[in-house]
Amino acid sequence: MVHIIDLWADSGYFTTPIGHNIYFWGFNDSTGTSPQLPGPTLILNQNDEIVVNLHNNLPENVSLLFPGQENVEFQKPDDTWAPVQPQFSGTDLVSLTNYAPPGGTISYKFTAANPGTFLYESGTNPQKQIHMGLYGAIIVRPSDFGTVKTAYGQNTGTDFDREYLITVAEVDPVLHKSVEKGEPYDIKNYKPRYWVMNGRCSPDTMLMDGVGYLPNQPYGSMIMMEPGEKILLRYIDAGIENHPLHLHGNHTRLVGLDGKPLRNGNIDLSYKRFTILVASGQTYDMIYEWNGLGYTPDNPIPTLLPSIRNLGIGEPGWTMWSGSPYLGEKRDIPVGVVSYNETGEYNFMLHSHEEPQITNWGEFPGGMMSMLMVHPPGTLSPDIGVIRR
Amino acid sequence: MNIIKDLWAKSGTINMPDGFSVPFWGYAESASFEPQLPGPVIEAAVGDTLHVNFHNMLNEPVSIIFPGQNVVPTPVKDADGRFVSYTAHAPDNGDVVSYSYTADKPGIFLYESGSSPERQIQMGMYGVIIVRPAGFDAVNASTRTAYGTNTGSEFDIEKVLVLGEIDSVLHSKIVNPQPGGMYIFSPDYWTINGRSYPHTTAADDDSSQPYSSKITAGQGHKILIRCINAGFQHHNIRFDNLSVRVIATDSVPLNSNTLDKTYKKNTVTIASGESYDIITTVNTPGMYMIYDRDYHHLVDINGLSSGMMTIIEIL
Repeated sequence: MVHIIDLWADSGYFTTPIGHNIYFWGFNDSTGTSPQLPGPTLILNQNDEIVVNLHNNLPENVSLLFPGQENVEFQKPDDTWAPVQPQFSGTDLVSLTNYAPPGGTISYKFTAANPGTFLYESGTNPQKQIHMGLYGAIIVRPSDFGTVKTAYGQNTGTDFDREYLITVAEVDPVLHKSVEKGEPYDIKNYKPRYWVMNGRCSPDTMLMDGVGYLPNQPYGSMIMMEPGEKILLRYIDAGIENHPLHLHGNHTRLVGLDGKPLRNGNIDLSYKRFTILVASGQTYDMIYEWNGLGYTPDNPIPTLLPSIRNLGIGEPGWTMWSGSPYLGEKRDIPVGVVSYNETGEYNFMLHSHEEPQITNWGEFPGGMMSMLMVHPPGTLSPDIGVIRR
Repeated sequence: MNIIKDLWAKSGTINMPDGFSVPFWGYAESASFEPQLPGPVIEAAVGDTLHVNFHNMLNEPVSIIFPGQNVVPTPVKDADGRFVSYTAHAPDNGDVVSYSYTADKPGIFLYESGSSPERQIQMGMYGVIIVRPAGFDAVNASTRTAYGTNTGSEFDIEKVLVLGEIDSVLHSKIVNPQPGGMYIFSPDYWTINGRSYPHTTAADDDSSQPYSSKITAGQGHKILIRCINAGFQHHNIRFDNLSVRVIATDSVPLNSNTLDKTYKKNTVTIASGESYDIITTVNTPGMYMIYDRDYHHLVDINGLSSGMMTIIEIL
């Protein structure tokens, strides 16, 4: 099957929780409106032939790289297809791949040969354009994807009930401002002030997908599950730093890297980690489970409770704690403390363990931080934990 | 077999694509030769005994350590018990120190400075030792392997890529002694085999940066790329439009006779001092870029494409 996708590269503004409006470049799936950060998540089916038409509304050449895909082709002016190639001017490399000039369009084609999690990003002036926001995620479904949901196909140990995608990056607002004003920027002065998950800084990361006041940052990073479920976490690093992402509550099992299963035939090469070093340009697929270390509906107090110390959020005196050790029950909390607990769920933090990355312009809390919520059994809609474009 | 290698620690100059030249310290193969970056590639086979005579032509102690090799270091300390060298050194200009050991396992290894390594390795005192497995025969396809038979490491084309960074301001301060030290380390060039792109893609030559990083291969060739990080930063090496298979890390093969733990990647994070052996096979002719996905390492001060980047050309 042929799957045709149109993307527009354009400019817009995104916001941070401390009220900073930042000019950015991003991808959009229609023209004439602001792009989004990150770009639209492309959900593809294994073995489909993918055609991506990139329309360039920016003032300089733009291109797309599809790391992890092979045999990518572009459409030549005579409408024939040829393998993408780095572009040179003399000995200067002007683009890592074929590009669209301002106002122009370029079409790329590849077969989504392998299931997994992938990045797409600009291959032109990447030190500027990727940082400005020209990146997004690709998810390729295995060919046998259906009632049993898996990351890499049946019998690969990657079955899941719900899935979440978190694309991380850094933001140096001075670089963005320099591009907005058309002023030079010396990369030696690079200094990120924000660290984003799906284009948002904490606590915005914990808001739902598509909230109205973050129109150009449509993707949330709040992970919600019920006890006993298998959660597929897909991490992508679109930034240049490496981010040690750490999820409380249990270890995660790493089942895929760069869209390749950690499996050779019948040999299972997956392994558990406490912290995943999410490194520049790479992707990580993990299965997370929380069985409460003894939790059952008949035994609603698990042997290990979330540390209350980890449940503070936002301003001093705010908490995610329910006031009760029982899953699904809310009780009184101390006078003066505001609880954001919804249904008596347990909350575990998900954050970069490089602590300066969990600040917004130096102020904790912020940045690369979200929560994982364990809701009481039977209370979470099946629509939660479904990745949409 | 005995392999005898004489190396001289010397001061020299390297050239960068933006036209600047940078003073450096490196290894020369004779007292009258210019030093080179990285140092001469030393090739040995498992079971060979390597003898290295190291001549000091600098004005401070120098020594060589052999990480991952079967060498017992003999540290040199000053009167206060502080390390001067991690192993036996040649203390002054004109002195010689000798090392010898038997190579006991195949792989790719760094040799590098063990004296003030925080400065001397940054100054360029590093090189590579390739140890061939037992039965290796470069002209016989069935025994031309990185780690021996049944390790999935047969190859047709081999390329060593030594990663590094250069802080040119620091280099100038070290050769013309001025205050400041490694606490202001801020590299401005990123290199493969001592060169920045596009110099990385030029042919081997007899300059102080003799090694090309360009890989030229035919369709279907098994290309063994041996990345080893002599720098202080980690690097995320991306292979554009390719999948690569990691077959060994730190010269430990991932495929034994009983368990194949090799895995495919598109981008590989290589931390300081680590090595990754990868194999890829390409069937479509053309150019394929290899570069650090930390794209700040791909530009020079003029914003032009530069740095830690090279090309695979499939004919």
